[in-house]
Amino acid sequence: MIKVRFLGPLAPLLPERNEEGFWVISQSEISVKDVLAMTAAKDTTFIYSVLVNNQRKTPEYLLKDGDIMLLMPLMAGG
Amino acid sequence: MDGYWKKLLRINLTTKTYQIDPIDEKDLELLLGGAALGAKILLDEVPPKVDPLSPENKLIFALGFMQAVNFPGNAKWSVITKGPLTGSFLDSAGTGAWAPQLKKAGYDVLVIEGKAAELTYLYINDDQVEFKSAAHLKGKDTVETSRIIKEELGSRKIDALNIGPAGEMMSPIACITCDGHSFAGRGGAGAVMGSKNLKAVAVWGTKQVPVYDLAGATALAKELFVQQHQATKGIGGTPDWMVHGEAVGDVPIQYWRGDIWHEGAKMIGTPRYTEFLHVKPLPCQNCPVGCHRHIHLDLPDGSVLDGNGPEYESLAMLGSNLLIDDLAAIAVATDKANRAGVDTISLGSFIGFLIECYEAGFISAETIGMVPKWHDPETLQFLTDKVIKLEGVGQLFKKGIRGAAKIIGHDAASFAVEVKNMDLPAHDPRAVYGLAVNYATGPRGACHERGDPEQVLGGFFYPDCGMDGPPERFDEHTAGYCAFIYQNTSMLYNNLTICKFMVTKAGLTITEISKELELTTGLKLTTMELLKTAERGIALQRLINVRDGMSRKDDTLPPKILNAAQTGGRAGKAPVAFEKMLDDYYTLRGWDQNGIPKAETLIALGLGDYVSFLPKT
Repeated sequence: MIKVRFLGPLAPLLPERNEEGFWVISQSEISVKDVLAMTAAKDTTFIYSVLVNNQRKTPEYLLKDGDIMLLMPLMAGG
Repeated sequence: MDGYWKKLLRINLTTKTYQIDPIDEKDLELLLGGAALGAKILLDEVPPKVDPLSPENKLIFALGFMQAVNFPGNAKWSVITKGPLTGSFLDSAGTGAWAPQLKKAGYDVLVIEGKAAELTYLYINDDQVEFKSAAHLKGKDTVETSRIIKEELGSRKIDALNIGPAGEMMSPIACITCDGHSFAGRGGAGAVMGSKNLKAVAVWGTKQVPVYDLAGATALAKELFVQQHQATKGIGGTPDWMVHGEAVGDVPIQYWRGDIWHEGAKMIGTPRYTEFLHVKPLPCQNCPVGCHRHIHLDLPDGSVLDGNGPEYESLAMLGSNLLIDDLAAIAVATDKANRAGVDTISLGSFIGFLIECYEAGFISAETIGMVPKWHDPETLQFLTDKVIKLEGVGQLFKKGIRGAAKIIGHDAASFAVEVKNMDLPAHDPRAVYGLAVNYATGPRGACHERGDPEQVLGGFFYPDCGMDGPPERFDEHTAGYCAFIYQNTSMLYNNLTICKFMVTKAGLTITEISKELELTTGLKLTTMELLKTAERGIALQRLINVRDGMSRKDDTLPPKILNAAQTGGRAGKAPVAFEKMLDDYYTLRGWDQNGIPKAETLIALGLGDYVSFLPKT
């Protein structure tokens, strides 16, 4: 089981969310890129970074059972 | 410990002498450098209540370890001094290749003392320091000054921090500029430089500071650069925030009294900004992001605007803040301010304040020199010229907005949107309550760079620093914590002297910063230990302000900020429980209820030597 959470304005891009704001995927051994392809994030113009268990990961990273994936928007002004 | 020379270059402008002093390694371990180390030097060397524009004040330029290796975002330097706006602690930061060059010249810190007899510029070339006449640069703007010095010194690669005419005339909102497109913008550090008759500081270096694992650090730097560049491809720079920010109620509208400005935001924000101003990215050295914007615009009078474009802050304070949706007018006013070396945030604030004072009947059109209006590019240009030259009505602002309010009289002070005489930047604290606490407690006054809880609006937080999500923006119970944590992270960037956009725009994590530190210095700190170094810096900065007489009475909010919006992204919201939020913040900092650091807090932070600096009770 992998838990996925999109933050801030990215949250609506998930297909569904539980009460804690997570989308739970039952499969494992799936890449970050494949997870993103299952969401509306593939179409967003927002800049974001992907964190898995609080560590930054590339789209090729293979998610494992129990992983928590976060999509963090990088967008505030300066 | 590697990554630092442990050397401070001390230059006395009065005596035209210089010397190299050692920096205690213990101080570097505790503070890591930059703004925190600069605060320690200021606290140790500059007595309380020194006039910021007197020769007794010092200008301290400080670096961290990031410049030892080509880490992304390391073209960053901090300047620390007593500032003319607040009269007490000021640190400001700018970017540009100057910072890595100072490191290559063999120094971590540059301290400038005294006052030159005539307008001077310094050329630091490795171990040599030349005191050069700047008579021919008098009155030259920041872009021209940079160009002339590069020509004189024979290399386009030599960066010179410099001031424009505003700094020379000691405007309290004068910047220090680097390479024509980066500004240590807030609080008037440029005026301090002007008070010392110092027009510019050029630096060139050829040395490599010892690095703990140079191969590993260099490899990490390359890896991070690629990752961060990939992550930020296609960004529109800071103007990207305008439309999003307006939607959530973050953007200042009609000098903080407006609620919404949807169509205007679209007119001046991206993507229109990018198209209309013919934008190209303008990256600093070692930057994978390239947030600065180079613009090219043919103006109706036949002239061409080709150079640094408005950042989000300028766009908001000279645009939405004045209800001006004319991008060309904003770009022209920004260019004037940049060349004069003036903070565009305070400039926009002064103009909005003047229009309100005129509408209230506190000041006449004759005194102003025109009938000032909202939505009016002519008002923007006229008052920009007056403020940057401190002439006509601009003279009212010689001591900042508080000084102007005092001269204008009536109820003008209640219109001024400032904290400690520093005008609010372009993020509305009613949109994030943590920002209200952050502004009120900011060591240099209201600032979105010495604490950036506005990041909450984008959903940004620090999962590797004990946070499980961004604080809820309208939650009065977590507002104190929100200010605390985002101040600590901002302080960390200013100690390391790294551009914060590496983190908040390009996704660098605090864990990765810890790795950069270890490979460069050999020092192994956890993410929480890194934040502890930031807490020390904040305590030292607070001590400087406390020693100058500041306390809770100065940690205030402008009256307007307690008025809720009727509509828009923050409708019905205002930080009315501010005093409770402030209590929570003081508790987290280990300060008493008057905002004074407790002795046990200083001791726990390893700053026991400073207990004697606390006011006697």
